[in-house]
Amino acid sequence: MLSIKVNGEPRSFVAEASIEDVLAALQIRRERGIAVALNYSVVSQNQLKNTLLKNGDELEIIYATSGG
Amino acid sequence: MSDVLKLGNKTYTSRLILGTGKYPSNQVMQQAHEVSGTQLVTVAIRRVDLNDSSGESLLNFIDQTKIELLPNTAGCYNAKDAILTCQLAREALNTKLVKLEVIGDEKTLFPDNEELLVAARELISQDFIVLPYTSDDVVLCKKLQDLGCPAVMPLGAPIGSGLGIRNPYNLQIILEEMQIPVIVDAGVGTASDAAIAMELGCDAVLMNTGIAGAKDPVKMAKAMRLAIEAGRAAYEAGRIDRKLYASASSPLEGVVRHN
Repeated sequence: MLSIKVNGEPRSFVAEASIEDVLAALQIRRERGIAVALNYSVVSQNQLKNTLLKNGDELEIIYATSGG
Repeated sequence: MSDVLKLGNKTYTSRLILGTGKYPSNQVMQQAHEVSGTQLVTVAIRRVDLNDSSGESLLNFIDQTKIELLPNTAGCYNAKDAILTCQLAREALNTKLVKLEVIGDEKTLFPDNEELLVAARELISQDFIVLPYTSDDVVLCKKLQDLGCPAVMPLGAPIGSGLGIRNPYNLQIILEEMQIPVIVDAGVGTASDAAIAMELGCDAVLMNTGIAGAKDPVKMAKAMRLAIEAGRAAYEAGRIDRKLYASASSPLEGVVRHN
């Protein structure tokens, strides 16, 4: 099992998951204009598929929402 | 096209920048944006709710062929978080333009200027176009200008307060000292507040609650557009000097009198 934190919450996934796999497992829709940081460094959209996660990693997944 | 707002290498014919928060619905927001003629709207950057990924996307209600997105760092209380938020916003929205706010106090939402300067310096070094929400302090504004911000955004009054332009004299000093656009950000409650900012010579006004919180946001959006245009025209026209005593408008000669 892969144990990581996503947006501050502990989550477990099957081993060898990429960031893209995690987005799919969490049913996060890409068209909302999302971005991801891995351990507080931004991962570019074209690297989401190739970036494999390891135990203890921390993901931040954000989107644009209403604000002033 | 001579009278345009220039922010770095970008130009805008509208001098009204709006938020996307607190509207009764996304549909009302969309109508208000349309009526206001705005070309730039702020959006917040937040963590995706992992338990509810089905939410309607705000971006579906912003016509990006007419309106550009300005991601903000609202809610950030230190430079580190603000920098990461901007980096994520750039990746999510493909824009280098950011509204940088680093809050220093929960009750007033006044900026933490020390952290603001740290974040602005770092973000500019990373090629961001930084529009900083600042105190109405000319020394700080000069520092932000020197760092390379293409505009400064001093507050008119606390965020969401609707108190209007509380210190026009500070703004006047900032306007005299800056070589870059000055945008009033926060505090505008009604159309006359926006007009006052523009009459002082401000280059634009950024507002959210003043429109979104009005009873009729769409009508208030129209009022704000007119106020911005009126205030700008009055500024360009050049107002008369204030005098304590009267000065007759009609000729003094030839007044009809009983002999």
